[in-house]
Amino acid sequence: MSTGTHTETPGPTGVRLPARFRNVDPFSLWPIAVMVAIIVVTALRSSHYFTVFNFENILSQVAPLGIVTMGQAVLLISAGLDLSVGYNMAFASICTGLLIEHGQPLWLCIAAGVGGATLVGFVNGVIVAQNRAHPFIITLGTSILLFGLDTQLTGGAPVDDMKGLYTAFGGNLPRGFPFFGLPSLTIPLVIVVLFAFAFLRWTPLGRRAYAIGGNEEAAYLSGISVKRTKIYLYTLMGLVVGVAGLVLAGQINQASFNLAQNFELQSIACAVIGGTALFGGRGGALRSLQGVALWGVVQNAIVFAGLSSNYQQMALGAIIVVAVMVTRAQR
Amino acid sequence: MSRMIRVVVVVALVAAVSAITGVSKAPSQTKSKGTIAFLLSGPDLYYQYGLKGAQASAKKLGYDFKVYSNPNISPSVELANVKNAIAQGAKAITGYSVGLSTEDASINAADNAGVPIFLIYGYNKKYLNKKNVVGFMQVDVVKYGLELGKYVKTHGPAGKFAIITGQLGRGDAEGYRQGFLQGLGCKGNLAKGEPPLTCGKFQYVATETGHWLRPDGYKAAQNIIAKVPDLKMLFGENDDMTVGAHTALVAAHKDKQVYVVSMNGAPYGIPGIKAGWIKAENTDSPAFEGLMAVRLLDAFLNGKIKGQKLYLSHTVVATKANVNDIVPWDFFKNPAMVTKYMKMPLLKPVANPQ
Amino acid sequence: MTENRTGTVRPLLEAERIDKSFPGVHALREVSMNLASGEVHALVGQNGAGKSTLVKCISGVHAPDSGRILLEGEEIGTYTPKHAYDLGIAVVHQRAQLLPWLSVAENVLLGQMPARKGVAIDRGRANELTAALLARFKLDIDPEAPVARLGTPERQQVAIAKALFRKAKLLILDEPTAALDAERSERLFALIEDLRREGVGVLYVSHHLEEVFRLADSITVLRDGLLVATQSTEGLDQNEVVTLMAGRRLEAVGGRNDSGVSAGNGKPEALVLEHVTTDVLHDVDLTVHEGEVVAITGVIGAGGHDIARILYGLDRSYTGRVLLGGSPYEPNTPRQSIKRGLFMVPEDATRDGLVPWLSVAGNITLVDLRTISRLGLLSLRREEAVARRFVDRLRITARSIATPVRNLSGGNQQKVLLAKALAAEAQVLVLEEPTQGVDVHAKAEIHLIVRELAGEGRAVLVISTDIRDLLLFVDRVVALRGGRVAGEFVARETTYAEVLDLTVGARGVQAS
Repeated sequence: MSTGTHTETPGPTGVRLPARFRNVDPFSLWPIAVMVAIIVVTALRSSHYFTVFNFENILSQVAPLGIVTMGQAVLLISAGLDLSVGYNMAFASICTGLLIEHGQPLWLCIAAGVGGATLVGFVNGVIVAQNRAHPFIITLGTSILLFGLDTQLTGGAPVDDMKGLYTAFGGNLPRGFPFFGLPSLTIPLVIVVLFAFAFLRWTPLGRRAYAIGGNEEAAYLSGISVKRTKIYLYTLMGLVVGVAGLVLAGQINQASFNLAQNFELQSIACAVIGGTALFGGRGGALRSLQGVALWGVVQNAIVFAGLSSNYQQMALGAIIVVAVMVTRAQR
Repeated sequence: MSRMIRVVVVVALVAAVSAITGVSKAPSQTKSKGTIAFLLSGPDLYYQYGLKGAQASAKKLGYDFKVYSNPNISPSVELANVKNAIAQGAKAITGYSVGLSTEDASINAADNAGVPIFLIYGYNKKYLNKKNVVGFMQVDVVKYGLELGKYVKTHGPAGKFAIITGQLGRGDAEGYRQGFLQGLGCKGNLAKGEPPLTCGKFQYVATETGHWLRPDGYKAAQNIIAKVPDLKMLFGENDDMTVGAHTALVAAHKDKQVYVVSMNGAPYGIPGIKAGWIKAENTDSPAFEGLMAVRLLDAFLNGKIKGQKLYLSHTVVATKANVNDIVPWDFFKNPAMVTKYMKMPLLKPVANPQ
Repeated sequence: MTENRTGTVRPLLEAERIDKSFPGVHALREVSMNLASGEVHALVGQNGAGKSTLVKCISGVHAPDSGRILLEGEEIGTYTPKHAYDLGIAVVHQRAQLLPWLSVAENVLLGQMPARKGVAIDRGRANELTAALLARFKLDIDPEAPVARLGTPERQQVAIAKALFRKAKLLILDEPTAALDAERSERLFALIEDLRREGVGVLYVSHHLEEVFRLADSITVLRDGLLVATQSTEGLDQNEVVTLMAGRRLEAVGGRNDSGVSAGNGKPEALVLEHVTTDVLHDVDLTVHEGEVVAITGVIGAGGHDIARILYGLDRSYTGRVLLGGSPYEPNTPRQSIKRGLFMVPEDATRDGLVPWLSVAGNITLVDLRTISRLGLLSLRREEAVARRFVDRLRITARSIATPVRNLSGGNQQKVLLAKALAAEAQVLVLEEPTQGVDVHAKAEIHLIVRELAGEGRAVLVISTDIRDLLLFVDRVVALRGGRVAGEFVARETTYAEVLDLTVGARGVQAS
């Protein structure tokens, strides 16, 4: 029965996998399987689907969402969440856009936008740390506040030319730059994904996020400063949201209050599809990215199938339900 | 001790609030002809410009102007706004209703209170028999699309085309589409407006909705161009979406390939006409609508015109050639232009509205 | 007992060759046992031996893979909890499964609420019925109180009442005294006597062998899913049972060192409490020396838990003084306590002590992530090395260091908590109920570990209601009653009865 301390029993196939992979449940990779199935079916049915152009399309459609989902995944792991994402992204874009309109140097505009969103994140964090109320309510409140602020700042008139930002992310950079001809949006996406991955795996703050999400009381009694950790995490989220907002604003070449509506729910859905639990303690960066990829593929496939966008909504809803069921079954 | 402090703070707050509201209620020094209440339904640019036009007009005519805002586009807030306007003694009400079902309650409230009301959009024949309904102004949605369609029929390139519609369900997006297809010479169920349809040398192959928003217009164009790489023409039902679509086409290096037409004449669309990447668009200035609405209300209050009428907005199909002749959306920034439009003759009502 | 047609008496419960497997685990191997009406039958075995699986089969949570269970001669047939409940089988789990936002009466009568004209709930009647039931079993609880306000022992009593309301024929009690102090345990035993007289069969699952021998008529011992013995308790002695459970002779448990302990072992004072007073505590003085293991015991609510909270920075509303290593000690958060070198292991390991999905290594190193960091980043290799050191030292058995801690047995989880204390490099340990819910062998191991830790110069304060267990491994016992220190003993020179008396208080020392 009880033998030594580190008996490494082989898995069902009799093959011994390195420890890091043994804890990943193959079942949690179902989004990839579904994606492959959809790609195969649609490729057979539609011409022009299986082209580099189309897949770059999908990539550029989900890049901003992917960035936000990374931040949201970290928060969900710590048993928090941020509903102010959409209007905060808009806020970042507006701060940057207004400064651009006034002819300020680009680096200052970007700093203002990212800084503004980070500040919002910080405020979220402070209130969540102090207050027993659920972050759902608190960030919802921030969201509404930002909505008013966004419309007030632009007076309903969006900023129309994001100049340098548009040059960077508008897809106008010469092909083959900077890597493999992929749209330039890919760079911030890759950076944020790698950062999120490293953060969760190798930083003390990331470890504390798992601890707080898994059992906040136990974390507190282990000497973790729960309040401070939450503040850091939400501030970090603000930073990520700011980056995503500027990427999106550069891509669309606009800064307005309705730049990123519903991003908050979409990012939570993508994280959940990727196996990040809503109650905290479980999840990962790369896994959450699966959710984003599946999202993009499904939306695109529905377009090619000629179905109206109402079907997109329905399909996405169905995927979320399945994802939640799978997550529960894994418990 | 802390209890005392709390009491003092509350009293101070109450005093401050009363002072502020009291000040705003103080009668203005100059003699005003009364207050015109403006219903603002949503933060969208279109309504903001309508408001500004109406405001400029009211100022010129000597009315006070009060805005009743409904940022979340909520029906209950609209009714509350109307009732507040009436209670606060508005001389007349204009602006936008949130939707066809909401305006029923709003119009009834105004009518019963004897306050003249003039709405932009939302026309329904059944309201024309109410005593205090001065009228409605809007575009004839089908005609609006038709005029553009006819232009494209003569000037547009043969081949595949797609439509990016606004938010379906309200009637206007469907109407524009139907009119456009009609003008283009399409055969088939135009009211349904779905591809595929053959229209002579044009083939209608795809449609996506952009919900009237730029980011969604961008995405819609991305999807369309992925599905139809040899697209020749694209019709976007408002400038916001069309600008987004154009940005997507640029990113896909297909902007030179596609003939783009639009609607609105918004300040961000006009540069497109001037630069040539919007080939044509049917324009309608909300500021002009607002300005005209107030002028009509004023005329009604002075007994110069009768109420219960439908008016069609002033629309112009704009191209590079005549772009300077259209009514811009932001003319209210220029006092000379305000005067010009104040001096224009009043719109004539539609003879037999259906 | 029920009579079948031939006139022979059949047992109340018959389990015939129950076999049950889960992925990777053969939990029960053709286990058979019988239980008669009016019999108290004990079920013992180490953690993982199959006790809870057997209980779950009987109570309808799991269906056995093969074999059958008969109640009063009739096969159970469908294995659902509701069906078992309808048949008259009631289970009181170790952690009472109640609905905290409902009242006591509503919980007890769940699903059975009396209704006026079949529609509206008759609360008055519900309260009456509940009060009568509680009174009958001398349980002193207000039927209208919301369960959320009750402490663990009261909740358990409510759970028992709930089981009894249904006039259960077979009552299964799983570790019922785990959360009870001596006084309430005695009341429970009296209750069981009443039930026995009324012909109710009781299946009593417990780690406390003294209780088993006191109450049970017969005993079933499981080991690794196999039935090792099922017989009357008459003539059986505790050591034999322990041997049967383990399959081998147990070494003498406890093993305190003989370095002559009396009040004060000559070593420096590590922890001193002076005149500590709160709402609950009154003028408590306490000293723990380096190398000493001191226990605080008393009934629940006597103040032991409060002392722990004060020492860990969770409660600052006290007057008096606390010195740690000679200097004043006033932590505001657990983090500050840890920095000063004091670590607390909380009472409820799964609820408060461990992050369930985090690995063994992850949990252990959580207390000080800096030790496994290099250049600000975590080094997974270092984490493994550090964790492995403690795992070996404390003999934690887990499939691997990367196993989520929730998969471990209770005893191993307790060891992980002790490992955390070591990782925190604590010089003073405060352990709340360190052997609660842990099987006999793991208990012995924990006793040994604590002594080793003390032997290395640490001061250990154990807070526990399990007097018998304490006496096996601590140096000194401090008895609390009503928030006051009622007496102090050298462990080896006192008896269970003596300590119990002071905590419960028929005679006893007046408050000084």
